[in-house]
This record gives sequence, structure tokens and C-alpha cells, in this order.
Amino acid sequence: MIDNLAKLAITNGGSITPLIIPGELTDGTGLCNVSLFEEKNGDIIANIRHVHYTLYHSEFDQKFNCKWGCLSYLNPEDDIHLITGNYLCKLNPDTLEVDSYQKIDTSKNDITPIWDFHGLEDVRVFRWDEKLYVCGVRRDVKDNGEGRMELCEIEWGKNICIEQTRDRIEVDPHTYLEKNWMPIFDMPYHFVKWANPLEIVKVNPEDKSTQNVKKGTLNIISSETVISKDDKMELPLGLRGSSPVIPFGDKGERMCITHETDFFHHPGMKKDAHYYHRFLIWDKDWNVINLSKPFKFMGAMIEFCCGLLFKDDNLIISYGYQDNAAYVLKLPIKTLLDLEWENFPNSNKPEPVKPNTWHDPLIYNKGENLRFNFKGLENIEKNYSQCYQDLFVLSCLNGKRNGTYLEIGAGSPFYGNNTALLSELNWRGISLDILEVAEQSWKEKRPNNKFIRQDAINADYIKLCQSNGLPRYIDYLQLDIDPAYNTLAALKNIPLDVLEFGVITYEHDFYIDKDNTNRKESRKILQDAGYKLVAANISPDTNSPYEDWYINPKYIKENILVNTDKEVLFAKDYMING
Amino acid sequence: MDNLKKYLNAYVNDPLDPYINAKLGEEYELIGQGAAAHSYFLRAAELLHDKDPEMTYCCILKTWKQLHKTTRRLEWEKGQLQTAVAYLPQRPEAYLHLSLHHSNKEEWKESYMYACLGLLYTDKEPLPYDVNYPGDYMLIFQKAFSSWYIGQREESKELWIQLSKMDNIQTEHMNVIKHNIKTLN
Repeated sequence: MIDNLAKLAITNGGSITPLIIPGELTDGTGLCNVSLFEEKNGDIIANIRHVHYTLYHSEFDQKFNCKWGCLSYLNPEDDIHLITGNYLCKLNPDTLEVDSYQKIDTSKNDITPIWDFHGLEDVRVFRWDEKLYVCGVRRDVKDNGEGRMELCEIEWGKNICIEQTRDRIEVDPHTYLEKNWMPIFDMPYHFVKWANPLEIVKVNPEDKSTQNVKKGTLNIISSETVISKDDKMELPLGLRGSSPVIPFGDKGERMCITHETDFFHHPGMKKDAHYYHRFLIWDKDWNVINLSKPFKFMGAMIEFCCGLLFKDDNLIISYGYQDNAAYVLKLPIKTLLDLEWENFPNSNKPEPVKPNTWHDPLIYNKGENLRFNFKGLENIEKNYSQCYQDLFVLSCLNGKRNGTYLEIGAGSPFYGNNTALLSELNWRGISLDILEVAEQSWKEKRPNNKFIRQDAINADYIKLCQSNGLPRYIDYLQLDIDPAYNTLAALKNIPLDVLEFGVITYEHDFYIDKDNTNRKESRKILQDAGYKLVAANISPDTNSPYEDWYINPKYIKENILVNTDKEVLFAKDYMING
Repeated sequence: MDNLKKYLNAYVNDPLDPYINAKLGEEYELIGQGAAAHSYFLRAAELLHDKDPEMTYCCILKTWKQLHKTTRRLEWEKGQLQTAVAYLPQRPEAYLHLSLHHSNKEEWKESYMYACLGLLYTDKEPLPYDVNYPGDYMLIFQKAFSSWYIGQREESKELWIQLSKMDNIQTEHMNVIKHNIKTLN
């Protein structure tokens, strides 16, 4: 067992960051069980749980039990309720420290609590259908402590952080306690309720009812089981919910972190526990393909994870330590290869899946046999695109100099960029991206090229082109935003009846788009507008079809090889003449 | 924050080093994060109990100090001070805080007793970290204060006078001493 994942992360180039809310606001009591969500613009938001107690937990030889034993909640002695409050925070994208914080105001929906635990516990924060939600367990509305998951919409702005709605998720059949459901980030209103064997529930926000309780009225929404498996893995302890479930990997896999609790009693003393966590990875059909051995984050007996993101080749994991401290761990993805993984009968992949949502660019080496020779190819020392898109554009336009481009989803100014080479050949154009980090990087590295920080979905492209001196015909259009449904939304926003393009590269990310919406719709739009699909399902490897390439037959007369019949078209096979 | 991060990384490198646990606890205390500080000081105490008694004792008092600042946990505070006394009865600091604890509750007999016990163990080397112990004079101060309320008024007066002649007394305490000498006479 790995008893110090943080050390392994740091050894592999990761980092650990403490999360702090000023002690004047908390009396210095515990901050713990942080959840994370990444906004579309790249902002990382966190929910930090504030417990109004300090956890006394004597470890090791336990020589110094307090008067109530080795494990005790040190509440105010004049109010022994275990009270939870929640702070929504923005984290600094570089340091992951708390940049700003606001306590969630729940007063609009609060009723007088009547059980020992007050407030919404172990919240996960996320957006579904553009709405910001927190979801956790509440046990304070019934005098027997019956607990239910509650889905609460939050209005969050500069001076406002209010719980606007609170819906209690009812279950059928009745149970005493529901907790630690894991929201599936890319499947709105779905949760993994149990991980072993898998049970996924869907909540129905429209199926509303009310329930009267002693101190008020609850808003209820229903839930139903939509996936239930019976392939239980034989493990010493039950897998309980911990982090959210996030998309992960090339083929629609999903990942989460589970927890398990090893309870025991000291002779004559109180209950105590060790908490362990595991990485769990499912394939696109929710079959378990990898399960790590249990690990601890920092070697403490009580640790609890509520947050997991995948960002820039790192897993960003947040957790509480002894209920008294909160941390964010940046774990380079390669670290997963250093973990121990279970071998169980259904596993056909004993090695952990290496996520591959980004591949290093396939670089053209001078002298290689490019399939499409063009004027000036011999002068090109290096290209920058991920899959030769820049060379494809030049091939279509016979090495054109002084061309024009519209680059939607600019990303990095050079690494994997499709217009960097064109710019070196005196092309001009506009590059759009919503990320601040991209803007800074472009200012530094391509200061002479026009970069506009803007949401491509709402941009007025006619005005943009006019004000930046671009004609109605533009040689190259790049469409590449993450996630892919935003690329489709941006495409729909471009007036294709007014603006025309010579070459288009369109990223649909079919390899992770289960229902094929993005590829199907984009093809219809572009082909209806007169563009000819010449390279379909371009892939940076042999199994990640992610882009389609088009030409406009009205303007492109070059003899471009058409290859549209493969489910995966390895870019190197298409561009390099083997 | 820089020091906190420094010691956090050191902790991650070796979570079983008690002195790093204590340093991390101290950094958390400095930024008002008492709960986190409490966890690391308690770990340090547990890891050191059979190796470094003075540091262990100091770390137990540090766990007390965090909750003392938070307030509203008086029963636990008393118990934790008793833990410190039980572990190392030959140090004065926990006696002082027990004396203060009882005088705050106007339990004068107990306050007096702990002040007297503490005075048996003065002139010790200072502890590695601050545990709200201004000096041995504070035990005399507590004895003077509590003795007044248990009918030992002459003893109390003598002690206030003794205190008024001592050096290195914090201004706030000296002001009380002078005030008491003036009013009690």
C-alpha cells in the first residue's frame, strides 16, 4: 500500500498546496473535504467544508487520549452540534492557493435543525446545464437523523453567494442514510451511488413534490436507478463514494477516487478508523478496467477526498486531513504508473490506462516525404501543429504566402499551434481564445499577431473580420475548442453564408463523443455550406479520431487526396508518404 | 505562507519526523489555523513520547493552546492540561494554566493549589515553542491572586509586594500588581 501519495506526486514533479480561510472567520476550527470544479474558462473553483470543531485524534501509540478517548469532536461545550458551513472559493490557477472565498448563504432555505449534524456535509461542486450546484448530505431536518443527498443551485457573483434552491433527493425503497453520491461531471443529473457493484442513479429535477417535517417543508425531487451491475469485486472493504466521476482517457473511460473505512475499537475505548482511498477507472460501458490498491494521501488515519480534476496532464485532487486541514495535490498523470493496481478476474488490462487527451505534436522532419509537395516546402525547417494541420493548409494552397486565417480556440502560440508556421510565412489573421493564460502567452510570444480574448460562441465574426481588416474570403479556418460541443456551438455562430474559407480543420473529438453529435452535426453544417470533406477522422495515433479536414472546391483546385472512409485516419499515414 | 509550504513539503517528505510535525504545527498556529496546528502538534507529541519529554510536553501544551484560543472548550482544556501534568509533573507551565483555568471560574482553592504546585518546579529551561508562559513570576502572581480569596490575605499582600520588586514582569501584569498593592493596603 502507498501510505503517502503526496510524496509520490511531488517526486514526479507535482505539488501540494494548503487551502486556507482566515482564522478570524472560522475561530481556527477545521477546514476539510474540499471539492473542485473547472469552469469552461479554465478557472478552478473549490468548495471548502468548514466544521465548527477541531478533531482530536490521537495516532500511533495513542499515549495521549483526551478525556473522551483517542477520537473526539471538540465542539463548543455549550453547543455540541456538529455544524458544517461551506465556502466557495476561486483557486489561483498557478499556485492552487485560495484567491477569493465567500461563505454560501443558505438562509433562504434553512429550517430549524433538529438533529446532531447541522448543514450540508461533504459537498461536491459542479455545473450541470450551465447551473452551478453543490450536492451533499443533510441530516438535520428529521429528529432521527435521516440523511438525504440534496442538490442545491447556487447563485455566485462578486458580492453574492446564495443557495437559491434546495432539493432533497428521495430514494425508493426508503433508506435511513444516503451520502457520498459521486456526481458524474459529463452526465447531468447522474450520480454513481455505489461503486461495487456499480449503481448509477438519475435524479429528476422536474419531478418535484413537497414533504412536511416538524420545522418546515422540504422540496423533494425523485431519483431512479438507471444502471445496476452485478459484477461485484471481491474486496476486503466496501468501496464508498469520494470524488466526483470525471471523463478520463481516450476511449470514453471515466475515473473517480473511492474511499473505504476500516473501523475498529480500542480495548475498552472508543471507535476508531483508518481511511483509505483508491483510483477506480471504468470503460465507456461502465465495466471496471482498473482499480488501484488502497493508498493514503499523507499518512494520517483520517483523510477524505471530495475533489478530482484532470488538467494539463495532472490530476488535481483535494482532500481533508483529520478534518482539521485542507489540501490540493497536483499529481502528474504519469504517477499512476507508479501505483499498485488490483488484478481481478474481469480485468483485461492489468496496467493502468494512460490518459491521452493530448498527444505531443507529430513533427514533420525536413526531408521527410510529405505526400503533398508545395512551393517553398524545402525552406520549411519545422512545423508546430499537432497533426500537420499547418502543412495540410499549405498543401491545399500550394505553399501560399501572405494568406489569411481565423483561428478559433487558439491555445498555445506555438506548441501544437496551427497558425504559428503560417504567421512565419507572413499570413495574418485573428486568433480567439477565452483563456487568460493563453492571452498572456500570446502577448509574450506572438506579440505581432492579433489575439482576442473572447468567447467564440458569442462572437460577432462579421464585425471581428471587418474591424481587423480580414476579407470575406479567408484562407483558413481552425475550429478547436474544448469540450467539443463548444466547437459545434462556435461553428453554428459563424455566418457561413457571408464568410467563406478555403480550408477548414474541425475538431469533433469523436473518440470521446459517445453519441456522435459533434461530428454528425458539424459535417452536415459544413457540407451543406459547400465544403468538401477530404480527410475524415484524423487521429494523432491509431485510435483517437478527433478531427475532420475540409476544402472549399470553389477556391481550392489542388489535387488533394480524399480519404473519408476510415474510422480512424492516422495523421502520419495521411500526410507522410510512407 | 512560504514557511508553511516549506514545512508542509518537509512533512510530506517524512510524515514521521516529529520535529517537522511540530514546525508545521507552529506555522499553522502563526496564521490562525488552530485546528490544523492542533493535528500536527498532537502527532509530534505521540511520535516523541518516549524520546524527548520536554518537546513532548511542549507539544501537548500546544494542542491545549489552539483550543484555548478558540474558546468554549473549557472541560477539554482542563483535561489536556492534566494530560501534560501527568506526563511531565516537574514542569511549571501546565500548573500555571490550570491555576488560571480555575481562577477564571472563581475556583480559588484549586487555583491556589496549582499555583503552589507549579512553584515547586520553577527555574527550568524555556520550552522550544511559546505556550503562553510569561515566566515563573506568573505562578507567584496566581498564588497572590487566589490566596486573597481563600482568606490568606497577609500572604497575598506579601506576594504582591514580592512581585513588585521583581524584574522582567510584563507591563500588563506589573500594572495589576501595583494596582493591587495600592488598593489592598
